[in-house]
Amino acid sequence: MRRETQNVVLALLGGALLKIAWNGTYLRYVKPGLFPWLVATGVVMVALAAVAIVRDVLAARTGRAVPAPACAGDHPHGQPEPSDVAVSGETETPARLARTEASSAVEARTASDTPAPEDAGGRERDHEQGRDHEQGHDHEQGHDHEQGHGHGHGHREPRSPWLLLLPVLAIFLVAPPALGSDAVNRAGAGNDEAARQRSSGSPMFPPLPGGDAIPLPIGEVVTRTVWDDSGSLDNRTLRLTGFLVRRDDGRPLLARMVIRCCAADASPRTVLLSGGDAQLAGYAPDTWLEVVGKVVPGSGRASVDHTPTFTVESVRPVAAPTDPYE
Amino acid sequence: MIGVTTTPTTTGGPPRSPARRRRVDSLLVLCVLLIAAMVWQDRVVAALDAPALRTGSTVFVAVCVQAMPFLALGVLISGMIAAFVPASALRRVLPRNTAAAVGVAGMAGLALPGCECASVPVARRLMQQGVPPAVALAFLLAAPAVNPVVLVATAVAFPGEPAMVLARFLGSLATAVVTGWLWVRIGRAEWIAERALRRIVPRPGASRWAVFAETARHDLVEAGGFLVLGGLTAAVLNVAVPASWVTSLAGQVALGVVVMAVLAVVLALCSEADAFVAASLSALPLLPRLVFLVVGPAVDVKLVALQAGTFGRAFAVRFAPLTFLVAVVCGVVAGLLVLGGAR
Repeated sequence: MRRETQNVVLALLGGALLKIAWNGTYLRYVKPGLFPWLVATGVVMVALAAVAIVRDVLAARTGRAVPAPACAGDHPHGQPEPSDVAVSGETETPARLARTEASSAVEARTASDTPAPEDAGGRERDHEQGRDHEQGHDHEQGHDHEQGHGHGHGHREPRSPWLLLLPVLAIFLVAPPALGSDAVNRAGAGNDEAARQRSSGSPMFPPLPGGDAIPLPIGEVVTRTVWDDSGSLDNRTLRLTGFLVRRDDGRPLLARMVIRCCAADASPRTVLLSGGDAQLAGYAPDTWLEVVGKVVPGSGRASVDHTPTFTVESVRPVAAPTDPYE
Repeated sequence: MIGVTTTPTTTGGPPRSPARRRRVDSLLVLCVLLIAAMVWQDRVVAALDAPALRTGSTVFVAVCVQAMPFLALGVLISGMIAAFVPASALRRVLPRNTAAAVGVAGMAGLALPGCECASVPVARRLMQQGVPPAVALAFLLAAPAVNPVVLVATAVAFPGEPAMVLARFLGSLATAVVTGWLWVRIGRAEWIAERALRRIVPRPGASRWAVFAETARHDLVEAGGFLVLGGLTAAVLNVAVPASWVTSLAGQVALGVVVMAVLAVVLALCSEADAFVAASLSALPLLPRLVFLVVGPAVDVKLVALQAGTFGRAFAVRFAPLTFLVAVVCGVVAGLLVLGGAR
């Protein structure tokens, strides 16, 4: 990819980050705390691209072929790109094969070197390596320049920046949804993480506020049923918000995902919905619901993977919250 | 000396003819790609509608979005080093003795509060400014693992086990320093791709800020692509590896250590988040989970992709297995010493 295209892609990527930060969809992927970082990163990317473009334009206007530091610093001339890491099952070009052979020859040579003696020797060798290296470097640059300028345009352009298009396209075109029922079913049985969390933390739970149909996060329902022996949830009517999940055997769960950093480390918090089959029948998995009901006391045992049973009184569909994670 | 004569043959391929490259212009390809994507947007979205693909694409975007700010921070620091820190200053700060410098670099990791993506471009610039590779690599391994943010996160994730924080700190520091020392003995300069060490030579008249902007832009564009590749791999494995594998390992410490080490590599979690994931795997004893925390920041799929892109494939195929082995051993030893057994 040539320099001008790189700049366009970089600006697009920065724009994509700014877009998800602006419209709030970044909350599908990361924690709210990343917002300032995301904005700063988007601005930095757009700014770096803009600076490069402006410098290129100015350089072209003043008649310099290549902007100042770009020539030496830009993509490697006449040598393999970073993308020789098998980006996408490309076939080996003859040049690349030749290179691999040559480098294994070098390895064979270096392997047969006499091993350096103990301490001081090791250091000396290190120095020697450094020197070797420095000279190789200089030589290489000379070689490159000769090639680069001799052929007018001997640059080989790095291919790895093409991959930057993937998140751009994913964000602008697909906009992947927040993790849902598929992720819950994939994560395995139950609320082991929530159960573990409390085991060594403070055993004290603050009393629930008074009133009827108290809104409570599903994660707190789980920790309270598992760890709170005072029975603070007994006979209390609660209002839970989450999305509907159907297990393979058809049992309905109400779930929220919890993320620590990004969606890659998400873990589910679930309650088993009981007695609401008729009311739940019309809703597809991943529908966001507000469910009012009561927790069955002592139902979050380890034998059921710390999944409390929640007796459903009423169900009503709601809009997905801005931050889908708890 | 032979290295000098062989290097060009190892890296120089026949130049492509200018006529051929002119025909397919990347800017044109980009425009066509973008227009095609817009025209067939509905089909692309429909093709991704399978639940597993949806989950995978969410994880992919999440890893990219989470890591990009850290990579951006890394390239800004790397640009600063290239433009404003003369090689002589670094040489003055570091001990002459490479082995001692490796130790200093390991402790210097305490100062860069980022995850692994930030440290790769920084390590590259350090090498460029004349820091011995082994020293820069020790910094590369230490920075994401022993910084205060990560240690606090570990303390929060394991509230009843303060020893876990100490064990992680010692295990990770040992991994960085031991790998650095091993690299002093066995590392070879030619394994590191020449492009990684190419210094930006400003033309007379170019300001330091121009060098800074150009270095940062160049590092971001190149390393970013490999970060995306790593994110893609992590997303696929995240969806493909069943969670039940882990829970079935309860009670088998040795097997648990191996599986958790491999899991740390394939999941490619941010070093600031991995402690919470490790804490959640409560079916396992502490030792395998400690190994998970020591291996993760040192070597994982997105990091290997990033290193292969930055330092070259010849480097990555040697460095990744070496770090993996050292990290597993250091993790186990730190666990046995600090935690007092497998537990």
